[in-house]
Amino acid sequence: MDMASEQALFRSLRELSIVVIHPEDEDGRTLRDHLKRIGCRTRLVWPSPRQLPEDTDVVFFLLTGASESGPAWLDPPTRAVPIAILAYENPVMLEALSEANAYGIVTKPVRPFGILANLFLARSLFKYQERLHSRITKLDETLKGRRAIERATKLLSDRYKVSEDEAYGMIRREAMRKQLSVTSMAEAVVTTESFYSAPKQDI
Amino acid sequence: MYKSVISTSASDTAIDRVIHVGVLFAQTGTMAVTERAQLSGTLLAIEEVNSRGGIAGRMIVPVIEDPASELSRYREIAKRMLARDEVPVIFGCCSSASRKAILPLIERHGALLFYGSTYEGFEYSPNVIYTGATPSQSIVPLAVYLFRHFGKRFFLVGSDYVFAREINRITREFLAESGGAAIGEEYVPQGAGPAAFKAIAAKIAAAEPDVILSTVVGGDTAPFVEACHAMGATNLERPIAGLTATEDELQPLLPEARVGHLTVSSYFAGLSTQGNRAFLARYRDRYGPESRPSVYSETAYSQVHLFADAVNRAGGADPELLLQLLSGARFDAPQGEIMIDPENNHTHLRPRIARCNSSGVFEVVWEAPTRIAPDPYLVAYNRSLAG
Repeated sequence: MDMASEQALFRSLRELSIVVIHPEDEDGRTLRDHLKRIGCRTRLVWPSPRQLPEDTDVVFFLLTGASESGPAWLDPPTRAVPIAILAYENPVMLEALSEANAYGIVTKPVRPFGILANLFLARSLFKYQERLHSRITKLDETLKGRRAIERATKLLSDRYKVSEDEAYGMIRREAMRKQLSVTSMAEAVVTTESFYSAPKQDI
Repeated sequence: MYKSVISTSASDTAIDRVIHVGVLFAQTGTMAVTERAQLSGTLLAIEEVNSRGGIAGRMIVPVIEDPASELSRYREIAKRMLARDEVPVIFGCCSSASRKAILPLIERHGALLFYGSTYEGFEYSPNVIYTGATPSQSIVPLAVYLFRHFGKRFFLVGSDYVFAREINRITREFLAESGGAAIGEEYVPQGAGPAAFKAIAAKIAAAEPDVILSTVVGGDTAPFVEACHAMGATNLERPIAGLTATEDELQPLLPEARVGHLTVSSYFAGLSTQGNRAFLARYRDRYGPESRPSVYSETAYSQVHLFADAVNRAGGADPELLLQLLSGARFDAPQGEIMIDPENNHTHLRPRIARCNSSGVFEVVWEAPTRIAPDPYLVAYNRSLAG
């Protein structure tokens, strides 16, 4: 990450909308007050809500280990970055931690030191994962497309006895003429191939 | 003149009649020039409180040790003060590096640290009362002043630790978004000596900036300014400006080397407030007619009085209770009334910018119209500065 985007990421922490799911006791207030000190819009909420407000960027939540399916507000998936508040650690809590897909932890008793670093790290990891996800989705599509193009060029080169390069050229020219992507054109060739190869009575 | 009440050990006074406090300022090493000023202010205030009969009859007894400007010594001594001497409070540290070194100990022992130096912000500990200026009260008004009077091409030079790095990061942001530029940035390890500064002065002379922003601290200040002067890197139109140079730090220099140096601070000895006239008289009575308190002495002095007032109200020195009472506390300091912010434990202060004259005395050239709230996380600022 270059310096400018690191600075921007730190500065963007100040415009965050944060929900803290925790009883309003000393720990809850320490966390809320420190997040406000950093400059974030912060709401303390208890009991754990069914849903998070639409604009929530980050949610700090008390991990209870009581529910088997994770917090209710995780369903449907939210764009809020979850950071867990841990009272103790044992296998049940670790399971709950992974269930909630937490990007960071704050340990009790809550103290201000470490909250800023946690928030920063959780946000950058979340953003990094978002970038990876969108990259994977794109790669998936490209890969699917490549398979269709390979099959279509093979089909055409067999049928018309031309080289695969020439077959690819045919698909590309036709795609341009019909204003389709090469992938969609290739998929059309593959889908309609059964008309030509299957025995007549099966159609 | 007051008789000094100084003890180097906690064991020689009846325990229930006195309140032991830790006093942790370097009397030797690179930070001594600055921290000795803090020690002077601290002792003056303690003697004042004691000469009035103490706090509800209890005398304040300082446990004084010299950390010699070495981080490991601050830690060792703080540990001993907190664990063996069981002091509830420490007045100490000037550099952020030393504060950060002892902060985990202060928190673990549930003690209270009074930290009385300007610093780079981005910290909040419930166990610390911060009485010095943070960026909204220091670098922000200084940068605006420098933009207006000298220009926006800065050369940044600092002592290599967190203070300079963070102040310069903030400055680069302001410069970038106000159409200025940091055309050079150099760091020097503390105590590096004149040769390192000579090389940097040559770079500055070649770069021809509008302003040299110095975050060089303590005893390194004079050799840095001297090197710039000798190299012709600075002159009246291209000043060195900073947050930490007071009369003390510039005292070793020739008049022509220090003249024109600009410093932002909430206190200068020349302030004509009523509180300052009385303070100056008491300071000179204690330390000699030629002595001159700096912002470090003044802040150290005020924080002892804030402490004494809180102990008086609390009826004891339990840190947790004191911290509650100090939240929102006010004091008529020599610089004017100051107030501890209830949200962030930092202090509402009125920044001033002053220029060093040839006799080494700072003359105020700008003053904020009112006190400015402490904003340690710079929440209230966008990064573009007018000017």
